Formats: sequence, structure tokens, C-alpha cells
Amino acid sequence: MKIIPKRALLYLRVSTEEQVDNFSLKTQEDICRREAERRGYIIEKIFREEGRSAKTIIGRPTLAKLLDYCRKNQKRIGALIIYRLDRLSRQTGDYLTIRNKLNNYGIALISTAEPTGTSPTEKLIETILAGFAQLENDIRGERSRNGMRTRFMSGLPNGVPPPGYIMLNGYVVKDIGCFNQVKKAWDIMATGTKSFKEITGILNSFRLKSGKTGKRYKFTPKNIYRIFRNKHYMGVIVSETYQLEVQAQHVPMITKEQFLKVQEIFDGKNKNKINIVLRNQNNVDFPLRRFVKCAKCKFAFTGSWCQGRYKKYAYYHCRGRCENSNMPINVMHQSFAKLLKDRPITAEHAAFYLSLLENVFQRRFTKIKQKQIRTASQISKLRNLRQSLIDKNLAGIYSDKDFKEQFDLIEDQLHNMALFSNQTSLEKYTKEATKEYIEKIIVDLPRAYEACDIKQKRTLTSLLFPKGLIWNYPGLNVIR
Amino acid sequence: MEDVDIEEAREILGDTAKQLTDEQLKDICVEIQYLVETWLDDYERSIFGDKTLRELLGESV
Repeated sequence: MKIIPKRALLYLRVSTEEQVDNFSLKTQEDICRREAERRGYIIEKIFREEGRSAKTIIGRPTLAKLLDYCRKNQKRIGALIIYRLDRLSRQTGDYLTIRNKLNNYGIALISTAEPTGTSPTEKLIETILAGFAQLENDIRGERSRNGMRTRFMSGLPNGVPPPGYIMLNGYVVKDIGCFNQVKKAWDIMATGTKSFKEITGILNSFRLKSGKTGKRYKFTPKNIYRIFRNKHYMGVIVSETYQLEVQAQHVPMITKEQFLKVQEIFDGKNKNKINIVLRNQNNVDFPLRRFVKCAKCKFAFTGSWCQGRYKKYAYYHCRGRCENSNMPINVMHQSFAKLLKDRPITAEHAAFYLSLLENVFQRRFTKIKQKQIRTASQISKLRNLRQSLIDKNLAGIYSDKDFKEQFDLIEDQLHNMALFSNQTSLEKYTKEATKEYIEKIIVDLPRAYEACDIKQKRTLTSLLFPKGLIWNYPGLNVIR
Repeated sequence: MEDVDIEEAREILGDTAKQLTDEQLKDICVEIQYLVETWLDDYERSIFGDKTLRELLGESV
């Protein structure tokens, strides 16, 4: 009779990297190996899980691999050996689930430190021990939570302090390397003259490093926003968990007044009228953005690009994210073109356009005439200047680079002036010709709209539809 | 841009301007003026070798 050797798997786990360094995994392995030898098992594979907690089975890739391995090789594997039951899980529910899976595969679970087996008494003891593992974990968690709350209430923040501060022996202290620079950034921000993008550039130019880790801070507009909203800098710590604000023990970087001033700037009450966040309101891809409202929720439509499998697609969609509000831009634009066609400019408006044109044209034409009078003498002066420049370059007074720069400048001015002295080009610039040009535009608005730039498009839309448009699922209508 | 004469605008626009306040009418005038100015710029570009009169004069028109 041939004896088939029994095969076993080892599962070793430590929750923190410190334990890994302290050879705890090695210790577990040695003990498990001895147990396997004692029971006559050949070790087929060892699964090592490092730096993972057993509070949950989520986020433990090695455990998942182990169970998968057990499923695929259930006929060959006789046992799974662990150092202690809490290596598998500290949650009784999770532990019993894993245990049931192994039972179904016909794999025995062996703990080197506790009695495990298939008899009713062994099963009971095993469940009780798994319960103790959870109890231990729960007590530890409760202690930790209480400690964190006590710490917070005494004015000491939990977690990593923001740039400008470091944690030293449990206390938040100034980060000498960057405290003053971050303070300077707060001072600049309080002037209301810098946007997020600019202040990000300024902070990055300081090349600040964390005094704790030595790593360089990389500032982005997003984390800059968080920094300038953080009350930590004025000596107050805030907890979303406890819904509390507490006076902190650390030295504030700024005063409460300065903090509030910066918050006002963020909230749009900037006396210097500088846009803190640079937004592109005139996006060429979405000229109808914010003009069209949703018939369901009355929010304005916005536009964005969606990534498809092969290319990007542009859509308008309701800001309230109403159902079926995603609209390819061509659908919306076709509907808008139809609306433009059905809504020609009235005779009164056309007359007003032309009357304004007459004023604008007259003003510009007067400038041309004035320029023509000056042009003759200016052309002569510029020609003299050009000749003098050539002479000086030949004499070696001006370098070739300077000569080229100045020469191009003079040539450009001469070219512009030639236009004013040249009657043929000005012949086309008459009141009648400009009137005809504008008339063509206002007679065929859909075509003119297509040729307009984004600012013209938006101005024209707001003129024609002063109260905006509404998307009626489907079809655009005018709000009256 | 120069200020548009509101009274003159009211006169030209006739009935369509009756329901509008001076402020609303002024806004409309400014918008129309912007359009006319930029369309005229486009025309100038087409006849002055892709340059507007403003660019040729090197000053604000």
C-alpha cells in the first residue's frame, strides 16, 4: 500500500511593518513548521501577509489568494496551519465564514496555540476563542478611540499636521524649515491679489520640505484650498467625528482676523476683485452652457467631455443631474439653429444695428483720415531711420541681432503705414461696404452664428433670448 | 466704446423698447455695440491683410 503524504499550507500574518522587522513572521513560521512536522504534513506553500490588520477580511490580498489556492487544490491539501486563530480574523463572523469554506473543501484548520478540530467540543472552544480574539480587538479599538477623543479635547490634534507644523513626541510644534514660508503664503493670500494657481506656484517655488519626513511638499490648487480653509493655522482644531471645535495647544501661525479675511476672499467677497479660482466661462465647445435650463429641475445645463472607448464625446447635461439630461452637443446645437432660424432679427433691431454701425464706422474712418495726414511725414522719417540703422550695422555699432530686431520693427511700421497711403486698400473700407457686410450677417443669423467666436456667440444668444432657453426633453424653447 | 444715446436707441427700437427700463436698454445697447464693433473688426481683417484698424493704428480705436 502506497502512503500518500499529507500536504499543508501555512498562513502567517503580522499587522504592522514593525512586527515584520522584529522577525515575528519568522517566529510564526518556525512554530508552524514544527507543528506540521509533528503531525506528519509536508508544507506545500507558505502564505505571508505583512502589514495587514485582521479587523476585516477586505484589503487582504494574500488571504484571498490562500482561499483561492485552497479551492483549486482542495483534493491535495489536507490542512491549513496557523500560529493562532486571530491570525485569520479578529471578527468572529469572518472567522467562521473562512472556517466553513475550509470545511467545505475538506481542509482541516490547525492552530499551533489553541485546540482545533472537528469534534463538537473542539468546535465550541474554537468559536469561543475566535470570540475572544474579537473581544480583544474591540477593547483595543475602544481604548484607542477614547484616547483619541481625550487627546482631541485637550487640544492635541490626531493625524498628520498641515504644512508648517510637525508632530514631535505627540505634540504639534513649528516646522522650523517651512513655518515662515507658509505664514508668508497666508499673508499674500490675505491681500486678495493672487489666484489659487498663482499661490500654488509661489508655494512650490519655496521648495518646502517636511521637517519630519524630509519629503518635498507638492502643492496643487486642490490641496492649497484645503490649507487655506484649515483652522489649525489659527490655533483651532476641528473634528468632523465629534462635531466639535477646540482651542489647540500649538502656537497659531495667523490671527483669527487674518483667517476670516482669507475666508471672505474665498467666499467671493474680495475687495480687490481678483478671481481666486480661474474658470473658463467661455468654453468654445459649449457655447450654450448656462443659457439653457432644465425643464424638470430648472437648473442650468452645463457641458463636459466624456471619454468613450476610442474618442471623447461632448455632452450638455443638467447640473441637477436629472434623468436623461445627457445630450450630445450636436442635438442641442441643431435645436438652437432651428430656433435662430425661426426668430429673425426684427426690422427695428436691424435698423438699430445699422445705426450703431454708422457711428462706429464714422469714428474709425475719422481716425484713418487723421492717420493719412500724418503718414506721409512719418514714412519719410521711418525710411531715414531704416537707412541710419543699416549704416550703423555696417559700421559695426549695432550687432546683427539688434539690427535684425530693430529693422523688423521699422519694416512692420512701414508696412502698416503703406496701407494708409495706399488708396486701393482703403477703397473697400466705405460706409456702404460695411453696411452690406453687417446686413448679410443679420439677415442670415444661423450662418452668422456659426462664424462667430465664442464671445460673440454668447452675446448674440443673450441678446436674442434675454430670459434664456429651456430644454423640454427634447427640444429647446424660449423662456418668455 | 462710446456711450450709446439711450433716447436715440428708444426712438429707433420703437415699440420693442417700450417695456424696457433705461438700465435694461443700456445693457442691450452695450451688447449690440459689442457685436457691431467685433463684426466690423472681422470685416477689417478681411480687407487689411488679417489686421484690424486698431492693430494697424497701434492704438485703441
